[in-house]
Amino acid sequence: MKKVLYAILICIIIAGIVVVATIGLNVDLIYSKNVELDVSIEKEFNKSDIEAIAKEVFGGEDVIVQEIELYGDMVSIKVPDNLSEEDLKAKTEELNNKINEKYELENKVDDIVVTHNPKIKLSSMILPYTVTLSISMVIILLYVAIRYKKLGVIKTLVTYILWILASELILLSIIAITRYPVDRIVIPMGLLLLVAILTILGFINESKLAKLSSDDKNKQ
Amino acid sequence: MNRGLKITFITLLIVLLSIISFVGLFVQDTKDMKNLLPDYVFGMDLTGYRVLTVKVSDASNTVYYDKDGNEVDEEQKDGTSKEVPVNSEEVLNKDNYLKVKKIVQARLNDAGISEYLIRLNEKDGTMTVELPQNDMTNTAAQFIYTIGKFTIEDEDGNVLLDNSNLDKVQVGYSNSSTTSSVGTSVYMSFMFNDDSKEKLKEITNTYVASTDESGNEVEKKISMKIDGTTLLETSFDEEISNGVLPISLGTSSDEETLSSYIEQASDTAVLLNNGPLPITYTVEQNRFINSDLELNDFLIPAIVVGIILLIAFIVLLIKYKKLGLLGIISYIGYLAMLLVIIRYTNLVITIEGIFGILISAILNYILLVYIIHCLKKKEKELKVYKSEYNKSMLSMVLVLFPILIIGIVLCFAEWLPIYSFGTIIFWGVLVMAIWNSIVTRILFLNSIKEKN
Repeated sequence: MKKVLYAILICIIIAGIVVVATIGLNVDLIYSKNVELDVSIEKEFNKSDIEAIAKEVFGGEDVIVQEIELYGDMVSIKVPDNLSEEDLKAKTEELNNKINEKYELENKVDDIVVTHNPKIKLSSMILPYTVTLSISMVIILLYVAIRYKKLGVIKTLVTYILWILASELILLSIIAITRYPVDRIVIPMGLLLLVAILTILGFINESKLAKLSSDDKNKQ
Repeated sequence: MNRGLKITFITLLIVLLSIISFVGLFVQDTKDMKNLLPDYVFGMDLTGYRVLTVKVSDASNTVYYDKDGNEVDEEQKDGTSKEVPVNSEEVLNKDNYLKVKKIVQARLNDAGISEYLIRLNEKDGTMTVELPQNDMTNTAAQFIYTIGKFTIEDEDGNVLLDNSNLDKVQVGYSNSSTTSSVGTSVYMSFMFNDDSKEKLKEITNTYVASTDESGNEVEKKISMKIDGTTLLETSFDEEISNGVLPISLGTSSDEETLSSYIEQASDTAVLLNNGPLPITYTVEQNRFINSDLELNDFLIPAIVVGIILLIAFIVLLIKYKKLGLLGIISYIGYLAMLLVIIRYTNLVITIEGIFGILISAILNYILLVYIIHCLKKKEKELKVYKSEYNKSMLSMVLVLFPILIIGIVLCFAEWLPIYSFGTIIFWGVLVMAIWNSIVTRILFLNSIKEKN
């Protein structure tokens, strides 16, 4: 049973690596290349209405609507940057018409500010975590090597490294395979998993240690 | 004190703490009621951010020539003129765009901007930077587009020293007491590299005040400029041979004036220590954008967490009865305490920070279940209970120690989301250890009826 489980996990990791190497990760709109359309509405508006209009015009679920400045009369609509300039122009016009109709405005399409936002490099976001977590891991491994010396230093260290690496790789593979968009939740999810693994390993080793010391007492 | 009374007293304290933490501590303040508890501080993911879009400048400068073809400052009769782009064709390439991004990142890091996102279009050099909205935003914005070209020039505009001669710039202050002023002096130390020390020495010997043959005072001055703006015009009183040029920004005993001097000096140091931008940029857009996350976005996750917590409480109550109930009371107290600490320490809550709170809450539940489980196995004797409680608590602390290590290390991170997670985890585990060693211990140990 254990072997089957390990085989499945290894398959997931391999599949994940293949997906990342071939088509890459599916990056959420907030981090990927996007087009931002800034529309002045000049009156209070409902974000969900604007979102519905944008989804209808651009034909997708991937839309981010944000208020601009503090007066609440201007809106920023972000959509994926995958349209040709002509298509984008046509869609912008359609968007403008629909917003004008909804809010009884007379905005011209030229009033809409169109900005092409480049993507954010995921590596630049992950790097600060890699550095700090690597330092933490070195200290943690030092601690477990001392604390669980009786259980075998090499064995304990290898277990910790393998569990942590495997769990994070499995999470990454699942994200890659399921095409879950890499968004603001992914890194905290990885941190949550790391804490969970460390806690589980801590429990396992503490109970092993307790058993070992009780066995020693019984022998004496 | 009677055991039941102890439990009642502790429970009442927890209720009070919970009311203060979850509801607030309100007092009448002129017209409105004011919460004495500090507000939560949220990161830019949750509140919004300033977006600055800078584009490669396509402006050009007019260069004037006299009739002989020499460059002159102003348009001349019979002279010619030519439009010269501020960015030459040669500098507009991917390497320089990446260099600009790197310099901007270094400047923002040096300025202590703890959270920002940079998007770079490697084809045309357009950069979009998201910055947190606070007192530092305007200064941070300047670091994105200010070139930071440093020169020391003579009176004819010849460049004597520039950025390539600088090693680093440091800001310092010292108490000073002179006949004219008493207070703290703020100064900048321009430290030149080894190759330029001799050149500086030569300049300090050349640009001095002297008296000519007719007895008139002649002063040869140099100008220190940043991006063409004169920072200082001076001559030298003595030779500088160590390569360090100290420039005083002023002396004051007024705190506000002093902090403005320090701010000015620190901003200049940040600019100069990271080198000049190889490309001139113009600001295309600068505006505040509210977070796309709203209260409604947190409603469903909050309800889910609430339901899970409720189920966890019911399980605790059904399985462990009295100890379970006391565990729930202690658990609520722990959460209340953690949230009060987060408020009072002004910890910035980011999405990572929210996960930190969630992790602390889960770990505390595990700790409570573990302790109750260990206690339940034992005979009802206070001595045994005490020893078992201490043993299980110690065991849990040892299990949680690696997580505390993560918390401590991440506390030193400058990147806000990591810092937020680290500090909350640190406080979460620390409060967990202290709270359960004192409060939960009193509750649990006073709840048992000893066997006669």
